Amino acid sequence: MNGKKSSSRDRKGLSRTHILWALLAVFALSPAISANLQPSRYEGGRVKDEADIEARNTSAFALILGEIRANVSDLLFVKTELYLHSGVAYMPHLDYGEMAQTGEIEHRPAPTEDREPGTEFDFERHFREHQEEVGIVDHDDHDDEHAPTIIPPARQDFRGFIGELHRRVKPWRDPALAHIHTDGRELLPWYRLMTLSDPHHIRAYMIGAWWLKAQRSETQRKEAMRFLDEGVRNNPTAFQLYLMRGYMHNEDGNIELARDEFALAARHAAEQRPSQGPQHRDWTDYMEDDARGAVRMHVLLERELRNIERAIELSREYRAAMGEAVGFLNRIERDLEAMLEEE
Amino acid sequence: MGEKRPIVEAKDLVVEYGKGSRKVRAVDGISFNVTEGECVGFIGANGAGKSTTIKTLMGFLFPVSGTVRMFGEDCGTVESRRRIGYLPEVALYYPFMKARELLELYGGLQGMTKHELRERIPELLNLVGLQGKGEILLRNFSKGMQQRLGIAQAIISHPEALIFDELSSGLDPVGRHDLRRVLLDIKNSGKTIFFSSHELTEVETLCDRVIMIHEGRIVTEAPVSDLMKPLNLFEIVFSMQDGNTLPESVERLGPARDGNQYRLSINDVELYSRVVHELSQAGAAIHSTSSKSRSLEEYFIELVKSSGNEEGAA
Amino acid sequence: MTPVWLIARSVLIEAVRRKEIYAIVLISTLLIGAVMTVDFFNLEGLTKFYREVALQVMSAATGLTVIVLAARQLPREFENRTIYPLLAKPISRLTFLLGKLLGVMLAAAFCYGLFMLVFILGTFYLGGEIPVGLFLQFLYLQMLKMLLLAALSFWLSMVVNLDAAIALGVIFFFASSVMTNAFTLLYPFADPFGQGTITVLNYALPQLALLDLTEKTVHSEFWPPLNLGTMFALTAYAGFYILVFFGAAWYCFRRRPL
Repeated sequence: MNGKKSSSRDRKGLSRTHILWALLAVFALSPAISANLQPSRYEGGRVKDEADIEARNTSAFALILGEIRANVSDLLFVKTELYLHSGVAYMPHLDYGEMAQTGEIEHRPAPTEDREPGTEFDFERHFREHQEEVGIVDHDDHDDEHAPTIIPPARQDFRGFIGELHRRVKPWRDPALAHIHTDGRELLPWYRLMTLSDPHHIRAYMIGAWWLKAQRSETQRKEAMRFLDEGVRNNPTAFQLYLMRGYMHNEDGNIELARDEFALAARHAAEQRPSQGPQHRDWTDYMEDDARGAVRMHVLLERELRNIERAIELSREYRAAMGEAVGFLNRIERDLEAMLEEE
Repeated sequence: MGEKRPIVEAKDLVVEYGKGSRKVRAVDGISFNVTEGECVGFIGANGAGKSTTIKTLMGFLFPVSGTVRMFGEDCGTVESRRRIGYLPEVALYYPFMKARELLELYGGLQGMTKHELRERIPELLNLVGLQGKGEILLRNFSKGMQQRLGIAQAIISHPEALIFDELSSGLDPVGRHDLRRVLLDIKNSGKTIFFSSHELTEVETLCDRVIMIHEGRIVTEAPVSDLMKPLNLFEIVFSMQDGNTLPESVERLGPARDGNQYRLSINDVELYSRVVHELSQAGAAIHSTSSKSRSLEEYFIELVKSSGNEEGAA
Repeated sequence: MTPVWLIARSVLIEAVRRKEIYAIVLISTLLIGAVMTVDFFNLEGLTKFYREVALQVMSAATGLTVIVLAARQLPREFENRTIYPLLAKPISRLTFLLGKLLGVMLAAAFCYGLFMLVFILGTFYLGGEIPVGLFLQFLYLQMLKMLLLAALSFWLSMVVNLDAAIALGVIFFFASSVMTNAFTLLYPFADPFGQGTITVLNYALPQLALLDLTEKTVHSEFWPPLNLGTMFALTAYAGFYILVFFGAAWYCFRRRPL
């Protein structure tokens, strides 16, 4: 009788063990399972109009999980800010100026001869600065050096000794002092997670690729291009990513490849740009800058490839499509016509 | 021989549960003593207030009024508990511990040293019939085994007094027999024992004195020998023949008359012998004699009922 | 062996034998491992990311373990009636409660010890370094935090039922970690009444964020260990709340009918 009892107990124990192992196996295999879920098919989160919202709300699953994915991705974006500033938490100031600090506006520079003085971001200077930053520097000409910290300085803090302890326990610097910037290398895992969480987080692809490129190694440069390729696969109409790829090919001296990327970027940008431009709710100044950059680079690279007539033709097309937004094309077009006459 | 010191002294003890309109008086002004070397049984029906009284003695519950002292100390103090071994009504022990570890825990809390415990634990396990079970996790112990272990933990440090709430609950007949043997040994060594039980045979066997409680009040308190006297009942059915008269001593006992037959119930064996002798001398025809043993339980039920009737009359 | 140690030892034996801690450590380790298997652009030596993920997961897992373990100590004793034979022994209720608290802390230390083993092995595997000074301070403050959580959970378990005690403990654990920043962010936007309320809450509520050195430990190349004065102040700060919560738990337990 005892024997029977113990064997039934053994069987029970075994079945529980099996369940545990099965759960562990499922857990271990979960990356493979999730990899097959085709995350790029998720379209929620970053909606542009009511039709998008409507489409998103047709599925409760997409509604709940979709929001979480986008929100997690945004939270991870904030995490990169902390890592950039060696853990010091500054007030959210991720405006476009700040994006430039983290490299997102790298694509903006026009070739030096076409830059309109005072209107464009000095990419070359900024890139040099960031090159210095790779290796941790304390620089004092940072645009956001007066951004307030989340933990206020004693003079602005109502919390007395608790505020003092808070400043000592957490990474904190007086906001009046220059920021400490870190090697962007440690930021990179967060960009990877950001885009895994939300494959439509275009800025994450762009900035992540910039930091990868900033590592100054051939391997990381290739990784940056792969990262952008993945971004394009997941977001085939994201003109900003074509633009980034164009810049990278251009830097590598692959002018024709770069031209093709700029052409795609400019085409998508022209298609997507609303007639009101940045006045439209969903078209930011930042997108406007990118669209202008794509158009300009496409025209200039056609010129560089000595397709002057094609360059003039494109300039006219873009002016017709985008109007005043690409007013700078007037001057380029005049130069092109002069070149054509000379030939 | 000097007067024995009181171990437990309860005076006008009142214990209540609940608050406001839900307040229930579980113990209603009871007073009793247990003196050194005594074995006292505390009996009563479910809900009579036995466990409440014992929990109050141990300091688990707090009286509304009245006092309880143990070894001259207020109940519930660390000092008062140092000399007591206690077995709770429902004994559950940490299922994740081995029997030996549990006894080490309780012995340690009683202030025993590791060396003392090393010697005492095997001896104790043997005493309660758990020899060789010291390394088994308690989750694998049956209810009876847990109860035996409970007894072991109660007596681990040779306490001066034992307080057991529902002595043999969960034990099989063999376990009960073993426990009785252990307790008799403890009693014979002069220790004080106070326990509640539903098993009145245990009370009969072990106790010097019994306290019966009903609805929070003590209904009787007497030595077991006194209580056992009225428990045997003899009945004589007889008739007086040829004009013989009923002896005066028998008439005083108030026999019931049915026609020419008398029926007399007597609960004292000596009196019964004397009456039979007198009736024979007086020429009575004795038709039948019978003896009937009542249990302590029946007696207790009768007492409870009569206590209820008295209350109703009052 | 003192009674406090004996009671604590029984809690530790339970924690070690019930296998829940191993499950938590295993799941957390797998989680950390799963995150580390993501291909981070063929970059090696990304120790900050590893440190951050590992320390956050470990802190959260240990915090939750402590809350559940501490909250269920007394209700389980009442429910299973194991408290009767224990309190029948010559120990005071304060001793019993202290033993339980020490036991929960030993279990937390055991849990943290297992985590640290995983963490240190992982760090060496990645070729990283551990900032010893900051890391020891981090561990010390974590233990203070766990002690505070345990004391709070004891008190909660005396005033509400077990499920509610665990739920409230967990809410407090997560809310307290963010409330410190929330106070500073909300204050400028509040009206005078709101500012007064925030000020009172700032001083009244224990702020677990003050006992969390994770960020400095992650970005350790920039931040030296805290000075002794700060460590003393933090100990006093945590000690005050530990005494308040433990005192409240004892006050409720002291005369509780069993």
